[in-house]
Amino acid sequence: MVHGSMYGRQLYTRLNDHVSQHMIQVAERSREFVGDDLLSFYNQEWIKYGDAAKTIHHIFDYLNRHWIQREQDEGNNVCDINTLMFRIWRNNFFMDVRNSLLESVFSLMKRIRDGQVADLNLVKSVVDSFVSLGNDDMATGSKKMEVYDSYFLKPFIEGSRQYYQAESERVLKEGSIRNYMIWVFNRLKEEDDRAEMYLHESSLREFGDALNKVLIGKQRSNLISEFKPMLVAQEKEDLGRLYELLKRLGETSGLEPLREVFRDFVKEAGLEAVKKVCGDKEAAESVANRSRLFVQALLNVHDLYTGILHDSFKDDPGLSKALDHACKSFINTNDMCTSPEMDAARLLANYCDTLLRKGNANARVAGDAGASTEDNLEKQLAQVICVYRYLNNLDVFQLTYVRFLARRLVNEQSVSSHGEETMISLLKEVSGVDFTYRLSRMFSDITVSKDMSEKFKESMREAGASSYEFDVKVLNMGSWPLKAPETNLKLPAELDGTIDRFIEFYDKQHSGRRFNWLWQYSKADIKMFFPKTSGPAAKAGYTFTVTTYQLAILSLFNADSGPGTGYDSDDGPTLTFDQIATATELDRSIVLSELELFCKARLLNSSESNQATEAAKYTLNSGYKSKRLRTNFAAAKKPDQKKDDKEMQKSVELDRSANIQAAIVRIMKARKQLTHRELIQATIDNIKLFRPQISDIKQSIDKLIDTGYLERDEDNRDLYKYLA
Amino acid sequence: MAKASGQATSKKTSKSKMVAGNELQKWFNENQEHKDGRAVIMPEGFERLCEALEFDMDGIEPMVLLWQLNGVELGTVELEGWEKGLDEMGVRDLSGLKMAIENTVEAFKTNSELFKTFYRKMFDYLRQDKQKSITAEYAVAVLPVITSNMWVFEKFVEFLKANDDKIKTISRDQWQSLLALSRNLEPDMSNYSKDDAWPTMFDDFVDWAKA
Repeated sequence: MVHGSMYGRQLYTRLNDHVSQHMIQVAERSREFVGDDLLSFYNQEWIKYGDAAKTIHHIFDYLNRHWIQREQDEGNNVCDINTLMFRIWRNNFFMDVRNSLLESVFSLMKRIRDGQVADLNLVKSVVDSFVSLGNDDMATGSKKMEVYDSYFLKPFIEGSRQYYQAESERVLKEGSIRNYMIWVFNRLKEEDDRAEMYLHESSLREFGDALNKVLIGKQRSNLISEFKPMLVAQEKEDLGRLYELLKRLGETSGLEPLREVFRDFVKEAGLEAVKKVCGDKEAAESVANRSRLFVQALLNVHDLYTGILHDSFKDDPGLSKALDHACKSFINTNDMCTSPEMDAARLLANYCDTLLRKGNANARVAGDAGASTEDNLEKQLAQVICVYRYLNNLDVFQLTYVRFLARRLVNEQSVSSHGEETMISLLKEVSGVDFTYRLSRMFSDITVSKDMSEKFKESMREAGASSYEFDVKVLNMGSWPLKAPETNLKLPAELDGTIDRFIEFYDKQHSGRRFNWLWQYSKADIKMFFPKTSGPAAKAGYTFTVTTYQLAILSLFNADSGPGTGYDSDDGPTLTFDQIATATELDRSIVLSELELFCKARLLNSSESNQATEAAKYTLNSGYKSKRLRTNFAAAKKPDQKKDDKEMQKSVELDRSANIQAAIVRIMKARKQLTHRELIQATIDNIKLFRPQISDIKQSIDKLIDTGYLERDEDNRDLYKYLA
Repeated sequence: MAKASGQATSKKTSKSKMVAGNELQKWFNENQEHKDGRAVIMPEGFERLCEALEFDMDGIEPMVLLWQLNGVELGTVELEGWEKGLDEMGVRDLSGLKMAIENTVEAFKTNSELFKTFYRKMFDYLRQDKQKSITAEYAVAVLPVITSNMWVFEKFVEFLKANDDKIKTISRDQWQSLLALSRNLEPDMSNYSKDDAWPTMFDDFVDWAKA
């Protein structure tokens, strides 16, 4: 074995000397070349040498496996033949030529960057050889790309940095920052594409970051200050570029500043748009106009910036959040929404009502030309939902919506059942069935009632008892936001009988249910004949739509049913205010306001220069004349808006207090004990429909302590405990 | 009197014997009435006791006396509470009782826990028919008596008087929190925060006081 060992060392040493000698010659020859030629020469030699190294490694297979293996086991500095070959290449050629190589690579790259034609493959091969040369001591491990990293990548990145530093200064001097952006954008794209072709994949990021730093990072604040002017001018392409560039700097230093500017800008735009509506003449005309223009203004701003978010910012999550934040802010808090009656939720519900109520065609937003009415309605309802998602006071919207829906259904004013259903399914999608369940019950009441009314009419016909059409809606008290009338009413005798029959009819099907008649919502069509009327109305009579209250008053003036004085006069009975009030049992204020309406319409004459007073006597105007054969007196009675608003506010407050208390009990039941601040926070987090005020939460805590659900800890008054 | 005080200083032999002979037991026997089969001192009797002790009926002492004798409601003390109270105070005659009560009032100044116990118990005495809250009227009458020279209470009583149309009752939590407030509040109220665990009524109180 001693023998073998000696030959092994000789063989190893001689091979080393021989190949080293060869490489010194190659190195000498290489000095004849510069630039691309040097790169070509180096690559050719590299390929040849690689093949030779492989062959020699195989030839010396025996040596590899025995002598070398043993030497290595003993810890001597000997490597396998393949490694030896690369070590020789590096020590005798590469180290000698590497600076010239690098210079040649730089010069070739500069030509490419300057727009000239050059063979990038030359660079790629050289770079590959750097990677293959591994590290100085040829050991494997974390530094196995050391040759590439320190002899190529570092100087190359530094060179590129210097090149672009100079270039960017030149471009900025020659043109605007906008031009610079376009230049950088294109340059970075080219560099990205190229880098993938010649750099090792592990260094793409480092290289990219270095370029980003010199090309974008240095101009960061200049670029950011371009953002707002671009938004003002809605320059989508520039915005897109700016976004892409700053995104390269990362979320924190690149995009975060954009988010802030975007949020503030959109908020400002929203506030400005609403302010405009506040000063709009058309908006001042009616609540319907105001709510429509308000919602339209919100949508315009929202849609504009959602478009920019999509087209320019690729729906970036951070910027999308900033947009939502801005919308939530300006939709709820603005110059229009300064009182509970003008809350965004109320205005939106109002707008929604104008969309879904008959006879508001001109109040609607003009739809797309050529689109069907139904498609337009669907689109507009989807827009309502878009705003709905941003509302702070969802509960207010829901309460208002229910009221409007009730009105539409009771008055049969829905524009279409398809529209109603669409809206409900949209609401269900966003807010769940908790809210829409009640709405569905309202619809089913209406459907069932329709059926019931038909059957009742049939039974009346069969009994030969019907002298007029009679429709009833039977509504479950718990589902409808309707209240019992605030006044008594003595029904006219004709109606009284039918009501009794209906109750009897209904009782056969559902016994034991109690009726509350909501006369204030009921209407009648009546036909009136006036003795002194001439023309077509003399024969056909006038048709009036009246409320039940109006009906009760007018029927007193029937020639054959008047209870009072002057029974046989041509004009029918003459009645004092008191007689009318007593006979109808209506509240005097209601009687007075209805009489005012009739006197003004010249339907009744008053003894006091035709003014309705409590002292006057009233007779029918037997010469009543109107161009229209049909008049709607019921529609003339507008509901008391102020009183409605007040009631709304009251019920919102009650609901909220109940909601907060329920939330606190739920939380405390689960957590058993919480500090004051924890409980406040948990309650705020728990309530989704509105933003509870801290003072309201505190009030609820007060109440729950009083009612024995909670107690304050004896020693720590900050701590609440749940009492089961 | 001489006999009674002589007994008070004698060694305790047996409890019943000692009680049977003492001046206060005699006083109870002479003034007691019977209610639902129990021996009790009723308000008139309680007032006589205060007179005997030379306590001003409008001062804090009668309240402390009632509390120390485990009164069941205003002016009403049952025998059991009477005996337990006297035993705990270790007094047997009127002068000893007077001194004990006056010492307790004095101790309030330094022993805040003692005062807190007394203050909390007062709420029960002021309740009518075991209701959950007391009338603001009672609070206005009693607070100045039991909390003399404490500015928060003075201010609060003013507040109640100024808002007697709105604030009709005081809950137990408000009553107890008031004592904590009086111990926390800086004179300029700058350290009051509506975010802290104070009843909402105190938000209004501080707003009112600052206005």
